[in-house]
Amino acid sequence: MAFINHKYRTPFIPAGTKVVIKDVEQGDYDPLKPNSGSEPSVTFMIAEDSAVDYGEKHTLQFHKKYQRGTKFLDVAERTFGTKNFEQLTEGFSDAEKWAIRKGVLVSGMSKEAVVVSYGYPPSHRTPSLSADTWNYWASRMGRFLVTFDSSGKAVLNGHTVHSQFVYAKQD
Amino acid sequence: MEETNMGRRGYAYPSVVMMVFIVFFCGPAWSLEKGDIRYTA
Repeated sequence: MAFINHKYRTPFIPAGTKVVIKDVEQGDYDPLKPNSGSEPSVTFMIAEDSAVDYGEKHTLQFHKKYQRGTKFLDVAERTFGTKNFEQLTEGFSDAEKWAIRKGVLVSGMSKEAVVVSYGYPPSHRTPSLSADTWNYWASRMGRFLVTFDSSGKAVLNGHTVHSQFVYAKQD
Repeated sequence: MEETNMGRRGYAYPSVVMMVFIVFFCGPAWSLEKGDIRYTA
């Protein structure tokens, strides 16, 4: 898995899932020498008392070229936080909480809820979270946009290719 | 009584020591390491 967090055919781990950090590798990649070394990564395991896929081990790899202006350890810290699901979603609507558990977006979601559900958009295409359009990737080639109205709420943007798994209706 | 700068020097020196202490001993804000229990966010 990559920190850019592809949305299609990759393991889905909901926000607020309890994990154990197994390794933090800072890598020896030199941006001036492409393919010069390993990228930083975090290996973790789903905790025993977690609701999903107990015992599964995953490695998240940081790609510096997709994370311009960010540092690996800062991204790692914000990806593996200290707040559980209830603390992460405090103040969110029921629809937002439902969407976060499913790892999807719903119309009307706040930017904060989109970040919790989907993670931060890769900074090389979305350098500022104050923008009205955020770029995500469903796969390596499958970029899609999440747009926000003037009040900062997510709106369906008419994107059809990925809408079947990007946006969902509540059960 | 003769006025000296000893008091000022005496005040400046600890502040430099304190700055060095903060930079080298308080360290960066991140702390993620092996064995930590965290939550995905």
